[in-house]
Amino acid sequence: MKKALLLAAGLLLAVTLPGCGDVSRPPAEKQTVSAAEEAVPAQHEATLVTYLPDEEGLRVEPHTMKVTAKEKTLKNALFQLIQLDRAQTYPLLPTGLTVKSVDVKDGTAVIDLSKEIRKLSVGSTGETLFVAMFVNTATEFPNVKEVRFLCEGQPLSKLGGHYDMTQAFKRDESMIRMEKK
Amino acid sequence: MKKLLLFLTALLTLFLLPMAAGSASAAEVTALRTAARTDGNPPFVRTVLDLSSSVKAVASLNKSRDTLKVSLKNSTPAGDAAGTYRVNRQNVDTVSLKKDGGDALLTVKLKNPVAMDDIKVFALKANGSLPQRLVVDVPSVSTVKAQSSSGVKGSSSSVPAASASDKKVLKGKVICLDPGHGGSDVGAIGTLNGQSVYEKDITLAISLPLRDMLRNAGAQVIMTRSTDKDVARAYAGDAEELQTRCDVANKADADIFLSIHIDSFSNANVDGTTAYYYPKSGRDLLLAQTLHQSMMVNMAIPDRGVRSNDLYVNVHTAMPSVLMEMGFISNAHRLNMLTSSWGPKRIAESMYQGIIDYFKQID
Repeated sequence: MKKALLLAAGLLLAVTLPGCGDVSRPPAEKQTVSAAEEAVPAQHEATLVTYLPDEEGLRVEPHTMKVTAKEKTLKNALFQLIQLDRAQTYPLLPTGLTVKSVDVKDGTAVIDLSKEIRKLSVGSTGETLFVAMFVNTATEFPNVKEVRFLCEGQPLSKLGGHYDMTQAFKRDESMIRMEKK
Repeated sequence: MKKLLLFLTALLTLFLLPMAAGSASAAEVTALRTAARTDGNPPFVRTVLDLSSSVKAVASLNKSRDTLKVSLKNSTPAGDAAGTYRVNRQNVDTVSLKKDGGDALLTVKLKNPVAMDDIKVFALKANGSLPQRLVVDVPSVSTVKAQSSSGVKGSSSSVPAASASDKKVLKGKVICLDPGHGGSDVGAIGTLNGQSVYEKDITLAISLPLRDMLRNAGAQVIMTRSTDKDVARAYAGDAEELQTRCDVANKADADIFLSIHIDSFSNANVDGTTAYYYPKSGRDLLLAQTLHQSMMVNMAIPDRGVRSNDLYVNVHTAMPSVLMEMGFISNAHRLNMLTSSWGPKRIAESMYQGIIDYFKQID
């Protein structure tokens, strides 16, 4: 992390140098940033992990973002998942899809999706990825062991035609492509 | 009609390159090369002849449409260009060049008939270090539809006679074929020339010739559907529809279950075939590997592997089962192939071979 920050500072220096005679300023800025980071107590920070499809549609990949502790909720994780997917080059999820509600009871998260999910036009690749995105993201939360899907409050009985979408889905690590170090 | 067909068969194309002024001596064919190409529809084998000067060429296809002859008038093979070149690329067996009186004769031998419209003969002008060339493109797959082959009686006559060894392998075998989706469930949707193409139609176009080939070789084939319909009922939930398909195979006590699908993804560049299985018996993986291997050997479709997961039909059938995804409807190149006259049949042939290979391994 420190190395990355130093590199970033170096880059900033290189970019600003031609137009700026004051070479001592960028390192000073870097110090300010570090000080600010250290000033935030660690226990107020949290990471949110979401799982997005790779470009080949073979697996999902973890995406980690820093949030404040109070933002680390399952509903926010699913909200971020949809936003991040829609911002990808090849979004899988339909436009306008939202999570209407999410309820965790006895280890089962019940995710109620908006009607736009019915526009998901997929082969088994897309349907498998859809399940892997939501189930792996939700089971990042220790209290979630499995996931059920609803659509507008009703069981999601029809989707791509390859799975029983009304079943409870468990985490599938084989669909996750681990980040390279 | 018959007369016209005969005429067309005999003379494919008359082809003329501008004669070089004052050139009376014979043109030389200085080199011959072939290359298998998969970037055309259908895929083809290209033969290129290097020429010392322009020639007049006449191409003809014989009556059984499995031998193409291209006569290069007032030409002669030079150097080591003459000879027989073993191509053995799918449908194309050999290409040969020889002296034929005052002409040079190029002969392309095919294993199965092709349509005249799918053969291309054209000239390329000298360009930089490249000499004048004559190019002959021949499909590397059979492109003749069932109804146009001679002596057709009934739809199954397009199926080649099964070998005795195939009949022995398939004797007494019960095979359940499941063309994915159907009726109210169109499956994944592709777009070709502004028109929607449905997965349900392609899966049926692959399954029907596969059924005929297997039956022709003596297997008992059970179809979950053989027309465009829902198997359970229109607008049933996915689980109800899929369970009804499993019930068909389970009640028939089939030896294997093969569900045929076409894939789709938001990235249109993605293409490839996947064999899905669920490890419920010792033979699900073997069946998946064997069918996958046959696709890899016989088809030019990218590989997405053999994968284990819990797709409904693989979990709820009582026998070894595989769900095959035969390329992506969202990929333009693949969609061209899947909607062509030859594509679905070629996939059916590779599945047929895979099924034979599977039963050979377990018996």
